Amino acid sequence: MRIVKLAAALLSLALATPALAEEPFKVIANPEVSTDALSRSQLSDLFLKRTTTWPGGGKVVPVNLSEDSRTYEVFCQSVHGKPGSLIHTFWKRVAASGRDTPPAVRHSDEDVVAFVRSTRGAIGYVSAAAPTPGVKVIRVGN
Amino acid sequence: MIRRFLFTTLFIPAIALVAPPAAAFELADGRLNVGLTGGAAYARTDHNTFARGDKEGQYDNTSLAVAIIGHVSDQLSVVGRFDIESQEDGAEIDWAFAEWKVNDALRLRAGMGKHAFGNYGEILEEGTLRPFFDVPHSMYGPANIAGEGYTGLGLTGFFRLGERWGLSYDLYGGELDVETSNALARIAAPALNPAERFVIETRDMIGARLGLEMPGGLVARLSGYTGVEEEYGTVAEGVRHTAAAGSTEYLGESLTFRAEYAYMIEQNTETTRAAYVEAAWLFGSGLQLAGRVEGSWSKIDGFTGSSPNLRHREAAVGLNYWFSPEFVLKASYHLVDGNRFAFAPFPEDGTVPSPIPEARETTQLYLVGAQFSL
Repeated sequence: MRIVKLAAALLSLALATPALAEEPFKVIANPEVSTDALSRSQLSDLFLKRTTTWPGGGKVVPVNLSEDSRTYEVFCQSVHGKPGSLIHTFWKRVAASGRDTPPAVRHSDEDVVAFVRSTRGAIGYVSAAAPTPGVKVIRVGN
Repeated sequence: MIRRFLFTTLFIPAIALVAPPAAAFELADGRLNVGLTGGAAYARTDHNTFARGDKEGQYDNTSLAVAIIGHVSDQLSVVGRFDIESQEDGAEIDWAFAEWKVNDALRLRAGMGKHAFGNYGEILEEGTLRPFFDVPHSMYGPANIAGEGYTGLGLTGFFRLGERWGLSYDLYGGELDVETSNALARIAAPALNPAERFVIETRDMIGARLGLEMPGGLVARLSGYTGVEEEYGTVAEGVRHTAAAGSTEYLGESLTFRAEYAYMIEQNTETTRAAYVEAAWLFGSGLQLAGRVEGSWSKIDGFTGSSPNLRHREAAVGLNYWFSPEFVLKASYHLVDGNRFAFAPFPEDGTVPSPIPEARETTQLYLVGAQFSL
């Protein structure tokens, strides 16, 4: 009987997992971007400027939320697999060696949406509850 | 001198504290990026002159650098950086080059670039990217191993290997400036000024660095270069200079760890082995504890005797306080054995005193300082 209860508990936990795994952020892109879905590693490369061209052509313009934002931290952990402080260090190193500059920064969801909507090739992220009029929501895969 | 020290340690870092948490300032709608870095330190030794310190106590250790990255177009960037150091006359250009991006795996560079060598070669002046005030002397001091910068052409790029692995590369050629001291020459000629340093111009140089990024934040690097030296000191023109290094680096949220080993051959003149291990732990309060051991062992061709000038062994502990990622206060203690980089005090004007001062084989250095970047 105990085994059945344990199995039922594990099953209910497994069924509950997809809801728990739902991202607390939305990835958004300029409507002219033809890509509909990206894996986490593809997203990471876009935001670390290791991939700078969209698969269909055109320059990628990433935009970050400011580092004091909770969504920024969640995004870094989920997409880069590292805390925001290490991504900050990554950019300091890249800039100090003259290799590149970090993405643009906006301080609110509204500002990110406005930037992405008005900038060709732009990609950003906002909190899951934020309204995203005039931009395209990108599906995030593993 | 003290006023300059206070200006650099207090006033400029105050700007770093109130500045927004960004790596640099953006201008011209993001097409121009300006970064400012610097620091100041007070260092004192028990007898010898070593690194930034001497036995009287040295305040004159301030530096300020400005880096500018300009994106002329999607493909073309121009990059420059100059710095001013209190112990040098005038401003010095660290690097100035143009980069043409063919694609993400291939970028072409022309001009004066930083030396892509080991863990620290490109970020020697960036004090907020390391746990000690200075990079390890055995590899990056006047050790005849890592270069200051090269003038010529370079290629660089990055490849993704699977989901979480990556490979970066640098290939470069031209003329490389490598700094050394006359510590080894002083074995035969003790009257030479030990504070004098040489920048060896190594021409017809080619070099490369490969960096393998592994899941979890570990990076392994292989670097090397070879070229032909211009005449300097007692070393004749045309001597082949070759160096190689294996490096590893782990950057975690609390733990940072770096280790490197390098081997240098100056044909028919000198061979040097150098290594260090460095680790630091950042506590949640901003306090960081750091430790480093390093060593350098040289051999001079045709010389079979022993001399403390041939070796440098150093153990160091450091305690840092990070106000933010852009501003850190550092204190460290260094215990050194050998006179490869630690030498007897000589008059600053270069005159040879009589009798010639004797160096002690062991040196203790105490350093406090501040470093910032914004």
